[in-house]
Parts: sequence; structure tokens; C-alpha cells
Amino acid sequence: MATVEIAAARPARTARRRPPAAVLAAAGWLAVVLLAALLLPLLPGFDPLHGDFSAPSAPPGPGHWLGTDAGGRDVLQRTVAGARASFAVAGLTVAVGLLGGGVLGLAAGWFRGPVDKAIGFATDLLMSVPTLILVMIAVSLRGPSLAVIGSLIGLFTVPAFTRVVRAVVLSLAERGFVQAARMIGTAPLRILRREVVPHVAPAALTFAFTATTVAIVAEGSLSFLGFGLRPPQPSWGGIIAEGRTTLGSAPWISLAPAAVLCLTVLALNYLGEHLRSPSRKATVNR
Amino acid sequence: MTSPLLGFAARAGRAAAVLLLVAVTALALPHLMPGSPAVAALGVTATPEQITAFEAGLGLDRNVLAATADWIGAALHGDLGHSLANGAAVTTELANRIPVTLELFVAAQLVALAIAVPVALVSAWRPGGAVDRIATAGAFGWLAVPGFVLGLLLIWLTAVQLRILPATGWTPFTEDPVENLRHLVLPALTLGLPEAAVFTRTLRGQLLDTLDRTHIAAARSRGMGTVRLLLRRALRPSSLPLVTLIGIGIGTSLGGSVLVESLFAVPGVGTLAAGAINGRDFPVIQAVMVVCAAGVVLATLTVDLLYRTLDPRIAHGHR
Amino acid sequence: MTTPVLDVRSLDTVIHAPDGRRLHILHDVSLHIDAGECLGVVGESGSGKSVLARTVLGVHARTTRAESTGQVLLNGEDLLAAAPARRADLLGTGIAMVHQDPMTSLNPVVRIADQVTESLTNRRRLPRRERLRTAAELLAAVDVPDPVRRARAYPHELSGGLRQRVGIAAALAGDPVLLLADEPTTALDVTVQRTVLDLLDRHRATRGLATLLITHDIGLLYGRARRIAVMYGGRVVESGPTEQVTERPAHPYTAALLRSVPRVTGPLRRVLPAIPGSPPDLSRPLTGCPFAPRCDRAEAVCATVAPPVHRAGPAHTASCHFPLAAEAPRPSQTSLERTP
Repeated sequence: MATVEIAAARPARTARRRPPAAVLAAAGWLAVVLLAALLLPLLPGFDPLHGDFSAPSAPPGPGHWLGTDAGGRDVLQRTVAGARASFAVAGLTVAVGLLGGGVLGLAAGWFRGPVDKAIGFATDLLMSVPTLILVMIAVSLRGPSLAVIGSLIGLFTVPAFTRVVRAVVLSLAERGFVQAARMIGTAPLRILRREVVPHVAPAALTFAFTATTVAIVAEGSLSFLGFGLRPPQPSWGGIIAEGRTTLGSAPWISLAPAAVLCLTVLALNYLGEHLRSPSRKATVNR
Repeated sequence: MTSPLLGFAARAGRAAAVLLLVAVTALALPHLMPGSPAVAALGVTATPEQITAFEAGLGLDRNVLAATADWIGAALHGDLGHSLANGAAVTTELANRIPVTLELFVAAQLVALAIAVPVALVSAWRPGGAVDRIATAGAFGWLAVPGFVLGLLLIWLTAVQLRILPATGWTPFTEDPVENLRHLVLPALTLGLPEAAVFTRTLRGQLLDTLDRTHIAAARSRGMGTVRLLLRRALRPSSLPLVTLIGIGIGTSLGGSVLVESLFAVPGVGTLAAGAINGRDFPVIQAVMVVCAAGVVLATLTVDLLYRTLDPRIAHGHR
Repeated sequence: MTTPVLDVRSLDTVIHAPDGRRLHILHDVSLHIDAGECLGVVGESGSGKSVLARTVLGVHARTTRAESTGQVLLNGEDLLAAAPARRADLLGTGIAMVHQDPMTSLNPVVRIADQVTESLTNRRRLPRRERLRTAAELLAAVDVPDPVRRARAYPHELSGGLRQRVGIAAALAGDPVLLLADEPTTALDVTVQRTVLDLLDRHRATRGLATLLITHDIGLLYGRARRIAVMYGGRVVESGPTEQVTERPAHPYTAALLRSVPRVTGPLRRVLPAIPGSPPDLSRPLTGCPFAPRCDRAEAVCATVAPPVHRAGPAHTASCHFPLAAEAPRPSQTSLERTP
């Protein structure tokens, strides 16, 4: 019992501390990217498809902060538009992963036994197939729509979500208050809603950060291979891929959106790690 | 306690089930395509006879399970069908390309290990020291760089800026070993560098655990030097998770190799798969899927066997 | 007068913990062991007895840094002043250590033969055949049955008692002059304990090995240690010949330790007595007697003034204001209150 109390006391102590500067920087960067993706397209002059033929492949400078591409289109505007597409895919991925992994993880941790084994086998199977290839096949058969790409990448994040949720449910069962609730006759659904979901949600949402980066990178890879979202709705991966033919003469066309993508993934990873560390210590450490 | 042999049999059975499921899925693929694959492949001018023959070839005239059984039967006799694109035997295609992808994979693992092992050893020996702090932060940042971005950066740096390495293409080892290695460098780095970050993290964590054990203190008390201690006493008991990672890597690397092979125009299984998917060349897609699944299964079983040699306790069923 | 094998003089050791804390563990520790002699060091966990052993050995926990002052003389050579290479050279061959838990002190993935012969192979290459032969001889010397087969085995194939014999064989391999045994039998069954201690005794006698036997169980030392040093709070609070210390303890802490041991002969295995309170916090400077807060004889002076060394016998000393055996003249309460 004493160890549980010690463990429980720890996150409270860290939570009172001011978040470190790096966390603020990561959150700030994400806020800037998301706000730009949401708001900039509403501005009157915003048109990532408009080509300024007087300045093709112009290097970064005033007027075009990140330069223009071979068609004279503004790289910054295209990067912002790409953020919309990438985050749309990521949103769908996380929704599918959370829903599927949530249901499967709850079931596995709640029923255990054969149900747990069956779900374990299914998720193992899903993890042993080459994800990218299957999504490519699906895209080739069904077309490169947001729905196909987002939901399939989501499908492949289901095993990881399932593991996270299952682990939390199992640890809850060990701590005994679910049993206690069962014993005093609380209805299972009520226990799930009142006791289990509130504990599962933080862990699952923390993992959503990781799933978001997985989706952004996977969609980028698909676009790179020609299986991603098609213009006029280019994602980050698509924009970066378009610029690779001019890597020698105009590297910014690829490298500028690539830098934005990497910084965003870094920020998401960092926030995920930061959110995970105190709670992980509280539940796993002894 | 279950006997190790029984456990191994259970895993082998599970592996067979996975393979079967993948085969069924692969054979079901043409059914999932909207419209007729035959018309898509042969064009609208195809005669009904041609279409019937084509569909029989893909097993579309039977149910999926019967088609899978036929396919497996033929596969066991070394016949994986013929490419729709050029009529070549799929086995020949695979035989040409699997060595390329394997070479790339092995080179990538070597790159990853060559970086991860020394860095992890130094980091874990002095946790919180300069090397450790730089390596931990570096690995974290490095993981944020997706493979395709890393590949682009490498091309930009070495092929465009420095002009020291060819950006794309391939020369078989048997033709010209030096050229082969020159073409290997960039794809192997692109595949191996992100893995190096993962390997370093995993190995460092495991080493920290091992180095805190009493047997390490005991070896030090008998006068064992640091280098010998790390290499001969700490590394081996810490390497199990790394073996697992490499094993899993064989499964996931196919996705990575599609990307890297396409980026650097390497004629391996990855580009074969990408081309086949693009052209809806079902026999090739099916063969690649099953062969890759078999590779994953084989890797898992190999990892299992390796565990036994690395940790004698597993061999004796003590764990 | 012969030089003792180990002569520790006024040893102070400060450990810098990885979290930045500075722990003053050993305070003015002095003790000596002659060839063929066993000195028992008794104390609770946290009394500094393991740090003493590690300081003598010169190998501290990997993540800590230790600073020592005073002298640690091995056959007259000051180890604290010796070059690192010289210290490394002595590990296993000059000073050897038997560790506490044989289940964790052997590497699970390394064959017994390779671990037992480490003190030798760390210095020169031994062919595999040679290693196996030497290991089998060493194992036979510590009464491991079927030593040739056991040399090829892995640790998990051996029982706890056999593993501790392996640990002793590994310690003896380098033919050391000083053996540090840190709770060598704590993790073992009572019946096995005795045979392992007998084994240590035998090698001490036949090899003329100076032995430092560390334990929290004072009952274990009857008939095995010629002299005892009782440690508390990083200090030697009482030391003397075993009979005198156990029969006429001068320090209240020793007396408390002894009260927990049943007065019977035979194998003993006792957890430390429930002396109320806990050992001092070593990260804070301490004035007075470290045992004062838990001592039923303590008076005001104990908390403020370091206790004097009381001579209870020719070679028997105790650091205490109010030692037990011979009643020292007590300062009166009133005179104490008058002091500022």
C-alpha cells in the first residue's frame, strides 16, 4: 500500500512545477502550425494553387518567405495547405485507432482469458504485415482518398492503442477498486464509464500524439511513393516529393516543408513523452 | 512449466496460421477491386474467351479458399505464377530482387549496430555524462526525421552538394563490387540511421539494467577492466531486446525498403512491389505478400532460436 | 611485532551520490587484521560496513564517486596513495571479495569456469582447456561435487549453496592475501550457511588468509571471528576480542544487538533486533554520539559531545559516554545545565 501512495504522490508534485521551456516551445510550435492551417486559408490572398509565373523557383525572400516552386507557387502557402491535409489524415487515423483500440483494449483487459488471447492474436497478425504495402494496395484498388488513407493508417495503429488501453485496464483490475465496485453490485457499464474510462483516457490520448506522428509520416511516405493524397489537395509528403526533382537548383521547395514536418513531428513526440513520463512512473514503477 | 520444444511447436503453428491468413488475403485482393480486373488488364476490346482465361489464371472463377489452396499447391512446386505486366515467371523476378533487398537490409543493420553499440555502451557506462546526454537528445531528435526526408537530405548533401556518391541506381555486386558499395551507401544509411536511434535507446536502457547487477560488481572486484567488462560481460545479457528489434525489423523493413528502394531506384523487392501495385499486377503482388510474410515468420523463429544461444536459461526452460 | 595484512587507520569516506548528495559514510574507522585471522564486522544495514569493504577493495558503485582520507595499509603499502594501476592490479589477486547474494553475483550467461577463473584471465590469456582444468580444481577445493561437469555449467543449473561456493572459488582463484566477505551467507538457508562458513574458515586457516567477515548477525561470529568490530553510523563504536565483546559488551548498541541473539549454541539466523528508531541520516553532519537518539542510556551530553574512547580491557574499546561494564563517573545534571 505504501508504494502506491508514494507513486500517487509523485505526479501531483511534478504537476505543480511550471512546465519546462522546451514543452512550451513544442506546444507553441504546434499551436502556430495548427492555427495557420485553420486560419490562413481564410485570408483573401491565400491561394496555394496560384502560380506566379514571373518568379518560378524563386529562393526564399520578401514576398515569398519560403520561396516559390517550379510553377511559381508560394512554398509557404503550399506548406500551410499541406498541414491541413496531413492533419486531416492524422485526425482520421487517431479517431479510428482510438475507437478500435479502445474497444479491443477494454474488451481484452476486461474479459481476459480467451477474449484477450483472440484479440492478442488479431493484433499480432495486424502488426506482422507490412503496413505501407497494404495501404498502397488499398489505395491502388480504391483510389487515394482521405477516407481510405486515414482509416487504413488508423487500422494499423489499432494494435498499439489496444496494448496501451489493455495495460491500463489490467493495472486497474490489480488495484482492486474495480473488483470492489463489482462486489457492491455496480453494473458493468457503469463501472466502465465511471471507473475505467477516466483512467484509460489519459493514457490513450497521450498515445494519440504518437499516432499523429505515425499518420503524418506514413501519409508522407505514401505521397512520396505516389500513393498519397493527390493535388489539388497536396499533403506535406506530396509537396516534399514534388520538389525532389529540383533538389539541385531549388532545394527549398523540398527542404522547407520537410523542416516544418520534422519540427512538427519532434514537437508531437516531445509533448507525448512529456505527458507520458510522470504518469508512467506512477503506474509502472513498482 | 511447458517444455521448450512444445512452446516452439506452438509458435510454429501460429506462424503457419499467419501465413495462411496472408495467403487468403492476397488471393482475395482482385475481388476487392471495383470493376473487372480482367477488363482493366486486357482492355475493353478483350474477347469473352480471353477474359475467362484471365480470370481462371487469377483464380477469380473459384471461391477464394479454393484458389488459395491451388496457389499454395503450385507454390510448393516452385510456381508462383507469371507477371501480368511482362509474362515473366514471378519466381525469377523474386530470385533477382530478393538478394538486393537482403543486401540492403543487412547493410542497414550493420550501420545501425555500428553506431548504436558503441554509443549505448559509453552512454550506459556514464549515465548523465556528456556522451549520454548528447546521444539521448540526438536519438530523440533523430527519430523525428522520417525516412523519406532523411533520404532527400542525404541525396542533397552527398550527391548534389558534395558530388561524392551516386544518388540513384544500382550495380550488382557480382558485376563491380566497388560500384555496388558506392550505390549501397546512401540507401543503407537512410534505412540504418533511424534504426540506430531506436537501437541505441533500447540497448542503453537494457545495459543500464545489466550494469546495476551484482555480477558486474563481482567481475569488477576480480579486476576486470572496463572495456572487457562491457564487451564480454554486459553486452551479451543486454542484447536480447536488440535481437527482437532486428527480428521485427525484418517484417517492417519491407515497408521501409519500398520507400528507400523507390527513392534511390534500387531494383529490389520493394520497387518490384511498388511497380506491381501501380500496375495491378496481381500475381506479383500476391507472391510478394506471401514471401514477405514468410520472411517475417522465419525471422521470428530465428529470433527464438537466437534467444536460446544468447541466454542459456531459456534453453533450459528456466524462463 | 608483525605488520598486519590489513591496517586501516582513521579512514573517512565521503560518497558523492548520483543525485548530487554528499554522504559522509565512514568516520575515523581504524581496524587491523593479521594473517590467518578473521575479523568480524557487525552492524545494521546503513552502518557503513559495506562501504568499508568497498573502500578497502577500491571499487565503489559505478555511478558514485568516493573520496577517502586516512590510510588503508595492505602489508604496509598505503592503498589510498597507490596509483590506480596498482589498485587494479591488486583486485582479485591481493584483495578478493565474496559477495552477498550468489543468485545475482554470477553472470547468468557466462559459464562457471569463465567466471571462476576471471581473476587469472583478466591478467593473462588462458586457453579454454586450461580454464576448464583450473576451474575444476578451484571448484574441487571448495567442495563442489562433480567439479569437471560443474565448470562447464551455467549458474542457473546450480543451487544457491553451490553458487556461493562458486563465488568463494572465484575469490580464491587469484590467491589473495585478504578476503572480504560481505554477508556471504545472508541469502542462504540455515543449514547451508554453516557449511559455507566452515569452508571460509578452512581456507582462512590453511592459506593464512586474512578475512574480513561482514554480517548483521552477531551470533554468526561466535567461534569464527577472533575479534569483532561493531559499526554504527559509519563509526566503529566497539571493538575487541570476540569473547569480551559478546560477554561483557561496553557499548549500549552492542548490548542491544546481543539481546536479540538467543543464548544457545548452534546455527543462528536472526533478523536484526527491533531496536527502536533508525540509523542516522548520513547526508547531514552529526554532532555527539550517532546512537544517542536510540539509546536508553543517553543523556544530554550524548547529543552534543562526541563520545570518548573507553578502555574496557587490554584490547577492548568502546566509544561511549556511559559505557556498560565499568561504570564511568557520570557528570552531574546540574553541572551540565550550567555549561552554555
